[in-house]
Amino acid sequence: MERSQLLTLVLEQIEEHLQQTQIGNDASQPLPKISEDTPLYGKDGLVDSLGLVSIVLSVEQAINDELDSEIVIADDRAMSQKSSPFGTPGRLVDYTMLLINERK
Amino acid sequence: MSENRPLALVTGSSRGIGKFICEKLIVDGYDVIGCSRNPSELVNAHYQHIAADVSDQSSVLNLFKQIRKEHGSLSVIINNAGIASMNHCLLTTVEAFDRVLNVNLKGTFLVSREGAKLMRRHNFGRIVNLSTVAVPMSLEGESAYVASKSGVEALTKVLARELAEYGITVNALGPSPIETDLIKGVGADKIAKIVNRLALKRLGRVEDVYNVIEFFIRPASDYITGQVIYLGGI
Repeated sequence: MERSQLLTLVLEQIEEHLQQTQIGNDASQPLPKISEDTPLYGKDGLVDSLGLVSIVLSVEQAINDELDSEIVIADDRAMSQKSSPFGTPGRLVDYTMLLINERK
Repeated sequence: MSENRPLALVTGSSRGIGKFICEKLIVDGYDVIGCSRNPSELVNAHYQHIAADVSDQSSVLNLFKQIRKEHGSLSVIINNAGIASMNHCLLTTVEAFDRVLNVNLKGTFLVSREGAKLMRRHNFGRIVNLSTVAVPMSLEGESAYVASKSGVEALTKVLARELAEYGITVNALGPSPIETDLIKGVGADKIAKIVNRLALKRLGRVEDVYNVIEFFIRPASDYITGQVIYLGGI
């Protein structure tokens, strides 16, 4: 899987999550424009901890369905990174790419 | 296996209570996946056996990879796999302690975690964990077993809260001594002593166990979570 494909997948999962929550359902509040540098979780992040859990699990499932793999994104290494892999969509993509490449 | 029947996973399904639970679930309209390290004698069109060690993460991930690929959804998990170690704490080896904790507690955690990931796809799930009356009895001679099952009860209550928003209920039942292989090595006098501490003074039956499971997994039981029911009146 290429990085660009994975980024598209991650952004889709984030948008789907936002659509299912209040942010997306309020017509007066359009869906925020999300790029790979948009703060996802933490200071000024788009989602709270439960939202992050949903997104990470959805990404994990989509990848495992696609690649017929059993990747676990929220592993010990992810939790102990100096720079959280969940800070932005881009960082989530980079960390997930690492896991995908390691299984090859 | 049929697409119209809800899917249930039973761990420790090769014998005893686990095997009986599988048989009853099939009668009640479920397709059942059983898993254990040993092969199962159960042969039924609605039963599939997958060899797995619940205490090993990669084995559990493989188990769920297969379930996800072949079935795509999961409605019920019965975390029944368990081992006991009857010994005075001063004679309990760290290896025995690790073994019991790994299968009973870590196994329940791993299977619940991976199962809940599948269940949340359909916003529905029922997880039932097996504890024991030995927990509220603080039964002497079973330090590792009781510690592991106390952990299972605590896990049940936390998971119930964390998974509620996905439509998943998590409950536990604590059987009294049941006639299975697990208590074969326990002396008759010790069993009698435990039974005498119950309000209902008889050995439990596998039917008693399934009765509580059947109650927990009913769709109508969607307002019951984080509960532990003990058999025999403790």
